[in-house]
Amino acid sequence: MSKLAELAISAQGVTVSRGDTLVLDGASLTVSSGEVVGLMGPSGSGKTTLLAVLAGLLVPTSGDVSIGGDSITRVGDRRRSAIRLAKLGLVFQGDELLPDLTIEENVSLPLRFGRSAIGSTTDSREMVRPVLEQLEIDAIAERLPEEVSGGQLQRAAIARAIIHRPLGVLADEPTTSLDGEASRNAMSLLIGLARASGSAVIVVTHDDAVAAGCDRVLTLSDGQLRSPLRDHRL
Amino acid sequence: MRAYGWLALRSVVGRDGRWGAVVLALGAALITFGALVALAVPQVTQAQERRTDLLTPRIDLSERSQNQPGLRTFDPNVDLGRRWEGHQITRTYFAGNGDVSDLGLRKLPARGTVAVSPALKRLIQSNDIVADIYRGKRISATIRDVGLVEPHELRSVEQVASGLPLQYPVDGFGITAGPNQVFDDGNGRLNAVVALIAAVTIVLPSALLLWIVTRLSAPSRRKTSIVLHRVGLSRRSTWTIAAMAGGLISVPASVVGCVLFNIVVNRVTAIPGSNFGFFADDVSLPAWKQTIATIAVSLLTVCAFAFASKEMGPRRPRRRWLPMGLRVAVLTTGIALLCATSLLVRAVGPNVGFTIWAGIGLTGLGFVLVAPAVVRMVSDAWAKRARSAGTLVGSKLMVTHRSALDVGSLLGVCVILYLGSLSFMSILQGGNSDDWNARISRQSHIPFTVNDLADQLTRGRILKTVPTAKLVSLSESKGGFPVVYGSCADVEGISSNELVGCTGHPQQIVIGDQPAEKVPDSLTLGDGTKVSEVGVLRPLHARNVPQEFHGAILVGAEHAPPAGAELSSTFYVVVRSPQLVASMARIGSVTPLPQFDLGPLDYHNPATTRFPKQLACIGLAASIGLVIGALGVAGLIAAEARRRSRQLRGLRILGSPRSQLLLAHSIATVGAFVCLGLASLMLGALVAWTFTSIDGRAYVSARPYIAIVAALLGLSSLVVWATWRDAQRSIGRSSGIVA
Repeated sequence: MSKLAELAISAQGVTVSRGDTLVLDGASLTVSSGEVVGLMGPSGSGKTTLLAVLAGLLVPTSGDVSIGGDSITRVGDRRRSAIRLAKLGLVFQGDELLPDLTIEENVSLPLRFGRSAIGSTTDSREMVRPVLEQLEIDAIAERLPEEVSGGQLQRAAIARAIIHRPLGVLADEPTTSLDGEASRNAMSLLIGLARASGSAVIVVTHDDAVAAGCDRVLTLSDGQLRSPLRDHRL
Repeated sequence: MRAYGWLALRSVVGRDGRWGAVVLALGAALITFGALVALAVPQVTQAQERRTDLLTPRIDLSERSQNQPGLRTFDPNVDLGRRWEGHQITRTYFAGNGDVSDLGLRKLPARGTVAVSPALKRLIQSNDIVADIYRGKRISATIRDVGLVEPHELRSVEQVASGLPLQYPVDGFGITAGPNQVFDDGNGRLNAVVALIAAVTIVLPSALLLWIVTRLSAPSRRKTSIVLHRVGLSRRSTWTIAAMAGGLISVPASVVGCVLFNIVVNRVTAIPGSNFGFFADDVSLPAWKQTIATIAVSLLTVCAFAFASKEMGPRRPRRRWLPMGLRVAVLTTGIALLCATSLLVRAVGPNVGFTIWAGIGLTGLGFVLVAPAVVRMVSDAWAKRARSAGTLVGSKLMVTHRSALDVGSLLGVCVILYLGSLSFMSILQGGNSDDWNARISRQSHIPFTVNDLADQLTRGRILKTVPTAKLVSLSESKGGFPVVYGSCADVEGISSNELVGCTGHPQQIVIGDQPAEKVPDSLTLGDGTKVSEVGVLRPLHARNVPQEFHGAILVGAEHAPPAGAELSSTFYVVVRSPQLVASMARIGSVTPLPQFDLGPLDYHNPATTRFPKQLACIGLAASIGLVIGALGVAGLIAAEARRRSRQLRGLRILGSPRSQLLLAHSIATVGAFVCLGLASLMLGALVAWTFTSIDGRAYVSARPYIAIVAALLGLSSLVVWATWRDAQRSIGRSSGIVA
């Protein structure tokens, strides 16, 4: 495997400005496959903006972002979205599930819309069910999001992010709405599943306990990405 | 694409989008129906123009034709138009012999009988006034469809004596059709105004409905778009899914609207509540027109729906694109123009009547621009004086949603236009029946004049049909001098004044101090009697008699000319006001060409309506517009209900008692509606008053105002009820959380 292929997510000199304000100021980072990176920083430091840029939801003012070697900053929305669908999984804060779809249907969305789309509903169920079982939410598969708890919702969101075995998983404070125990469980599941599938993980968090589970932790302050505080594996 | 369709379908039937989908479906069906009706109306009027042309006798007006044998009829330029009890009856008279199969008849009815259309036959049996018109005549035949302009047309064919004045030979039936215009009756300017009113009356509520409906569940659809974009769908893809969802609703709904149109045109043969009927063939639209209209409405709805679902960035506070000062200036200019119109018309003439349209336009625009701010001011003032928490919160909440205020102001414009349209319609109608009845009932007796162009009327015939009438006739003596035939009592009945010095012998009538015309030495009266020494007759000073009586010689009624004496008479008749219309109808049964003149009253008489098609078009457009507008209000109610219930849940958590919650909820829900409704009613009344001030026929009774207030109260109650139920459910849930 080439060095380029090992780099799941790469950002070089990313700058985002809004008016006269620099939200991100030349941020650069690389995350390899299977690596878990924590992103910390005070509120308003640009963590969510950086994650949005890495996900291709926001086009930076300057700089370049590549996912698995494919640049997402020099292409149009259609191509960028296709790369996101195929190579990334996102877990954002707040409820991200569609209220009219069941938990199982929500989780199956990336498979249904993917380029290598599964053939039928039965195929989709066969692929989703094991993941739901792994996350212990198979019992609520047929329920609507409003009928399940916050922890179960978050697990479903994690399931949707990893169901298509993406190159990278981007998580923005995914456990904010959960209590300590549930938060730790959700994070360990996310990290465990991502590692098992060889996905790179970038997780934005304020929680030291979550950060402690990461291979690397980066801090963002005033739009600038600081050098890693520590570098260790779980 | 299959996945797109699946997701679109799920979002349509989902709980969040269900209510919006129902309203959107109803809206799309109604708008399609309205669009097809709008396309059909010109087609119907064109077909009716064509049929009217085909039924019109071709008259040979040349001198040499006067002695030709065959079918004869009256000069078509003689206007016979008069409505009876609101019914326009087309009476055609023929003399002689000829082929009338083009008129839907096997042969010309014999003298003393009449051929009538099916609708007229029914009306004669049910309406005494209309029966009076055909008094003494037997119905001998029914006119077939080929002889009718529309199936409900009130038409009769009668035979009259040959040799009557203004009769000409009939060369055949069917005149060359004019240019294909919607209303080919020389009322281009009026038709343009009517078309504009009809278009605004349908288009404005339709646009509002579409706007409301597409935004009903827009927040949840926007959220779906955001989530799907994060999952990895491009913006175009999320737009496509939203458009597919819209299409899943609007395409079948538009088709339903189209099917509904076809069912209606095959079963309904007249606009309900109007005299505007139509044959199914005339109103049926070709398949390509229906397809284009259905596709156009579907596409419009889909685009609006998808656009409203479009993922949008954080909302920035909207800038005021027009400063408040300018907005107020627009409104005040509109109001000032309305107020000044009557003065301008009096000073400059009717040509400046267009200022009323400018005034209405600016007032409507100004209302939309200013009304939300006015409601906010009311809300602030109310909040400052509020003693209870419910009033305070309610008055604040009632202005939280700017879009609801904007939509409410647009609905207010509909109210203004509606009241203005009623006023304008009463002008087109030649008056309003309520106003007419009120004017008639204020007088115990009504005088009217009858001129008989067919020269068939005599004093005796009139008194035979209307025995209680006071009657005086005026005609010229054989020497050309005016003679009034009647007794002193008859003239007193006409003038409603006692005639001092009336002897019952020939006298010259003098009105006021006017010098009387020199009287010839002798006169030959209508019955051939000669009166000599006329110059020494005592003058008779009379007041309140027709000006034509001045200088005329008053002689006894027994000297009046007999029928056919070629001394055309004008009859002055006075009847008791409740018998007015029946009396005219009975006189109308005696002669084919009676011309009635009610003097100043005629100006206000709705029986002289000349624009039934225009009225029917406005009425139809207003009906469709009102239904669409009501549906839009229902949609707005639904949207507000959902929003308000969430806010009330928060209040309940803070510990607000249920009674205060209900108060807050009621004020918040109906406060803005009531303010906007009252303001629009006032401006509508101003528009109606302006029409009245420039044209006395413009009359709006209290009923529409009462109806609007009742509708406003009913709607408000419905809103409170609907939203309160929703809020209670939220409160119940929140109480559980608190517990």
